[in-house]
Amino acid sequence: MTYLKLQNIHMKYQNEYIIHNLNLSLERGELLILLGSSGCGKTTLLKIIAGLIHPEKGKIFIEDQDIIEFSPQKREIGYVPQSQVLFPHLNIKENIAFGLRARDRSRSLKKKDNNKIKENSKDGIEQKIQDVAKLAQIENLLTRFPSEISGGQKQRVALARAIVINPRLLLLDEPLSSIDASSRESLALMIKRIQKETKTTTIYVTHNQQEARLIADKVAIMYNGIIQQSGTMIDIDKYPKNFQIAHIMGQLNIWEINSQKFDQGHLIITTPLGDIAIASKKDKNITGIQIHPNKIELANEDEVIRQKKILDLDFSEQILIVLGKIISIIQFKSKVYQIIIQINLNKVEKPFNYLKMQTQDQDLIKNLLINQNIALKIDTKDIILF
Amino acid sequence: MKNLKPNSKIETEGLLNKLIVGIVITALISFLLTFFYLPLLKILNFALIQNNSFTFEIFWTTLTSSLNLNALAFTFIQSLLTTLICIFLGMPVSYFLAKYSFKGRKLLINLLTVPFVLPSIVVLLGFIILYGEGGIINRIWIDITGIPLIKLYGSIEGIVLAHSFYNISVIIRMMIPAWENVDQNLTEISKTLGGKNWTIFWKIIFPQIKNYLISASLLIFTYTFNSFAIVLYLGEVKYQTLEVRIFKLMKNTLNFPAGASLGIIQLFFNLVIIILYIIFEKKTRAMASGKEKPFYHEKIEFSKSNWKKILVEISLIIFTVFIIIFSISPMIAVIVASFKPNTPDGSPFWGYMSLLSKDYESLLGASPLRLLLNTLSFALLTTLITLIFSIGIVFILRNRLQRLNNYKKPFIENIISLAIILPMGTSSITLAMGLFLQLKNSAVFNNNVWILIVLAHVLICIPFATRSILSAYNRIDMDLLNIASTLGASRLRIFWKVELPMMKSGLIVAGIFSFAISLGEFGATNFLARAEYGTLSLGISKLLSSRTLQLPASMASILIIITFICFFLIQKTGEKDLKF
Amino acid sequence: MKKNLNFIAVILFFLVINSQISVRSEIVQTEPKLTIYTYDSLLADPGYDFIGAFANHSGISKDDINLVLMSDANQIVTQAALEKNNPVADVLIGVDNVLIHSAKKDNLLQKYDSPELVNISSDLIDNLDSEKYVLPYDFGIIAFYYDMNRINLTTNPEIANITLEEIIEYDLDKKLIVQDPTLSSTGLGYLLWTIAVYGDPEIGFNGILNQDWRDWWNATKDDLRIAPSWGAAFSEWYEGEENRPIMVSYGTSPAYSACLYDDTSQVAFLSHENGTQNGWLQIEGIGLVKNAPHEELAKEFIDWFLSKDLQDNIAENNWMYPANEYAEISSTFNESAIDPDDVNILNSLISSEIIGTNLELWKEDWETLMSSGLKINGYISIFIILASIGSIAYIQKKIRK
Repeated sequence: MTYLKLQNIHMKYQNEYIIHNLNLSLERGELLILLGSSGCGKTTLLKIIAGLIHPEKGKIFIEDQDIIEFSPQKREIGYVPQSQVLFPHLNIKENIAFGLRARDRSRSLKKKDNNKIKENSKDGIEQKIQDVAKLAQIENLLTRFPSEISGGQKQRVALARAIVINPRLLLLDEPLSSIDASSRESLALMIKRIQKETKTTTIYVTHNQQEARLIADKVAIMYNGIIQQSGTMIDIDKYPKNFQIAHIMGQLNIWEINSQKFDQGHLIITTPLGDIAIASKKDKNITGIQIHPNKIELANEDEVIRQKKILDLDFSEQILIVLGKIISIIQFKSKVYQIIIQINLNKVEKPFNYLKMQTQDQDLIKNLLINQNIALKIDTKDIILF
Repeated sequence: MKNLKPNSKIETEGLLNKLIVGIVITALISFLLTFFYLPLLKILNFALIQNNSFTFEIFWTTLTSSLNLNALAFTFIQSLLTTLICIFLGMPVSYFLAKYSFKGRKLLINLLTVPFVLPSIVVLLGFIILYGEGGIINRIWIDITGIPLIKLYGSIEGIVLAHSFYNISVIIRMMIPAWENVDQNLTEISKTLGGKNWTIFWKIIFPQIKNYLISASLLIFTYTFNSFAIVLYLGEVKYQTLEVRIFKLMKNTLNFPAGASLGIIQLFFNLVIIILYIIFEKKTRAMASGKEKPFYHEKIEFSKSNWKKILVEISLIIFTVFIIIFSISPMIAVIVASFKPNTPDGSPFWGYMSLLSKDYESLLGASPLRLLLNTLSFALLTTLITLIFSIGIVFILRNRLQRLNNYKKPFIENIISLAIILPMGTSSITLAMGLFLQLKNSAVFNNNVWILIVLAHVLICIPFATRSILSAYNRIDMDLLNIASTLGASRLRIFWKVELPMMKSGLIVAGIFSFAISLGEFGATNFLARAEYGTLSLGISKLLSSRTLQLPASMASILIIITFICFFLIQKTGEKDLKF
Repeated sequence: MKKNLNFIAVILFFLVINSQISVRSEIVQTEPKLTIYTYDSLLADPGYDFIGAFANHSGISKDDINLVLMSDANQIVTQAALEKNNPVADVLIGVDNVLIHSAKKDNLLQKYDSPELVNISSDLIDNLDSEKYVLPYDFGIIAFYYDMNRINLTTNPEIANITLEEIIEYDLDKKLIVQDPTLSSTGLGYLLWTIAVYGDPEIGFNGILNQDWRDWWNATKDDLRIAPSWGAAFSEWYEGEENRPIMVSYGTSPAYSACLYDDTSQVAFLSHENGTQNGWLQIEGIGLVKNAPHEELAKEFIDWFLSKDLQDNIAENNWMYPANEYAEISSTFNESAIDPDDVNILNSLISSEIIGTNLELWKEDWETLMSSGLKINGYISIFIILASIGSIAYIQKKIRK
């Protein structure tokens, strides 16, 4: 059963739609990574879900209950914004207790629900704080003030504060963005662990695909105001819907297509690598190509010469030759080397265009020099189209 | 529609919020309406309506009478002179305080701010003791040269000197952030590009501090423009500001229509200056927020050779010390005078003892102790009401901020923020005149005039308090409020538990400022007060012409000490952002 | 703990407020039976407790009399005028022969024909107010008053037979303290002195010299010290701080030091135009406020104030000639004071009609001419405003470029 469902969300900012007819659904207990470049409206979407901004149009269902008219107070959604904001005048414990106390008050005012009052009594609150502090590993910080702890710790407190109210939905807006690189991974994994342990349905917004790869169950890619593609990380890696998505996913060796035409069973596409002819039975719309770094080899002189000869549109030979200059060679993994090659096209349209090649061939590496001109060959069958 | 319960809950909450906002708005508007706008209308009425018909005649004769034109001209000229002198004296000091770090720098900055809130009558007393023809400075000068150095009474120099004393603190305080914001990199780059020092100053540094300088100057200009006590006593008849003219027309000649007309003219000029000030202040804020704070506070080198640099530094230090002496000496003079008996066999504590006696009751309208009690309770009441009022204003503006997220600007709040500007541009005499004209036949005026005095003080303090609270409020991260609401805190709870505690330092500063202003307020109090409702300032003014200065000096010393305590408290809060 | 502190602060605050309110209600409870407005130097030096004396005389408690002291007689009239519709005061003391015009115009007083008037010369009554809105209690000549220790006939022999014109010539104006006629009754008396001497061509009044009084003031305005009240002037003169040994005071003032300290070094002088000793006579009066809340007691007070009982104390406490012809005056007083009988009284030159119609104009003219020292008129100041706004805009524009 779908737990969270966003339907036809529209949001205008200064007469321009930044979210246009957005739909999204989420299962209970799931962790969704909302991936998109900066300024694509992710934060706005989160604020709409949290009830901080009212959308122009649209509905939000949690368990089939439309909450669009609910105030943020009533939605019971935990929200951790991008900036690390803790209440500076309260210590860590009071920060975490803030939501519990607020709820306690509004509940007891409203109806005499004995169980809930007990649950949020003084001891109940204390117990909950201890539990969540243990979960977020901040037990020893409870008496300190926000100004006395580090960025990573602040974010953990913010997370604890959001989770302690047992929210129906947890929204995390770039939680790692203001944390130093060394502690990012551990925090990301902690978020994942807490999310699993508490089984909180979570939307995690980021622009960083590496962060997404660390923890994602499910990814949704957002740009131009809508969710463009969603699915598991592997699915999207394998079959990105278009160039933009592949770009957002941070894939290597991708190029946008400038123009394309269909001719004699071949798709002829113009790319920054040059014109490429790919065998195809019918015309299809392509937004980009990708060449896997493993699928690139050095071309020998014969092949280069042959390529030059058959330039006059004989596409039988399905090999792409690319000329370039080596910029750097680094050992990527224990046995894998990565070579970055600057492609020098004869036409100087975009002078700097790089291609990454990975190889395990140590002998080959030994013979290569920085700034050496080389020719590469790529089997056009290995070119991924999307 | 499936789940009605939470829905209805939200609606009641929204309703409650709306209700509270509604109540606050109504309270504010009705307060302003009854005690500011209706009196203002009354002033207009007196100026423009004669025998039930509308006429410009009185207004015109008042404006064109050469007496009033002289007053207008003098008001402008002395304001201009004071502003220029303050810039000249204050700039080097503010530069020094901004660029050099040393022990006690913060204390010094706060100390230099004290003159600004010092009761005007105390300043006057200090100046008479120090610079009067029989004062210390002139006595020494006469011993040396045979002629007095400064003519305090009936001279423009005395007035401008006293006004400069008051306002130097404004320029120092406002220019320190300006100097701190000057981008050192730009200066260095232009030096490497071969810029001359003078060119660098005009082309690189000056544009960066310009807006600060203009807004500080405008502020000094308004304060001097509306100066009352100092001009009333030092100007004799020869020099009168519009404020003094209005007072004399209202209290000595009882020519209410003319006083009202002059009040309107003054209000017009004040509004122009205030609006200019608001525009420039916004610019400085935009400049400050658009720029990272410079990481290092290094000294600007005016010249490469070292001895010149040292010379500049030494002269800066000497200049600063001179300004400090200038700023503190009148207070010290008053305190010393309070222990100086009139006759050789008098007791040094006679002044303080007399505070408890009843000898001066007839002259002062009440015993000195009573005056002290009045002063303190007026100040306390004023502080309380001002704070409630200012919090209310911030509460409304806060609501506007929240709604800004919905990309809608509500109409009523715009009116409110406009409605506060007008009291800002109204002088204390005009405020008092409005209240007086509106309520002069009422029971309140006849029996409980202290209520009107407190109200006038509140109206004078509100702009200061509101600005101070708002500046603290604007530092609160909006996201924090968002989080609080997602955590389930109602709007009211957020206000009490998050916003109010976070504005605390601003609130304290606003409160202390209001207290200090009310403590020494002279113009409006003098206009309204009668007999037993006088304050210490009034008492001092009545005793200025008595043969011994010991008693007024004792009263003034008490005011000085209270003012100092206030500033010590402000220093304790650590609030840097003082709003004048 | 914090909450406790707040609580204590609130309690303290209410205590202060409460104490205030209780003090006030006390005052309201002891509503005075008689309220008197007068100036602060009335019977003040060495001091005669006339309130206590009247309390004894009438049998009411001293606390039932509310004495309000103003810094000058001028303020008495304006304060009473402010309260015209709702009078607080019953008796005004100090309304002199010039102020009576303002008081009458504002309709502040009611006529009272006191039985004690039989002891007062009718000349005096008529010169003050023949309609008897105010009744004279003392009189004296306005005169220059100086301290021989600081200035005398040896240093400045011209004083002996000086004219107003010669005050300018001999730079005595730099040593002179006068009072502001818009604020002070002595100041007003002196203004009328100069008007009577020089005349006013604008209204066709010749005076003694058939010139313009404005010329005298114009010539002296930068040198004079103008004090807001007689009291302020006297304390400055007495302290000597301002280094001005001459002030406008009364012909009776020298009697003060002569009687009290046996010191005859203080002298008064008048101006000597056309060979006569010219001076302005000030007659001070007491008046019953119109619709006074306590009319009967007020009348009793006025009667007593004009009776020999009090009038005996006028000379050596208020330092003026008492109005009551039977009041005692010591011989020392008579010897040191200028006797109005020896003086050419300038009051007779200006009829009370002329004063009534021109008083406000004269005051305004005087204020205007005193304040025009800047030599810049209002139009130029408006020009300055526009210029400064313009220059701000110009700098703004230039820098933006």
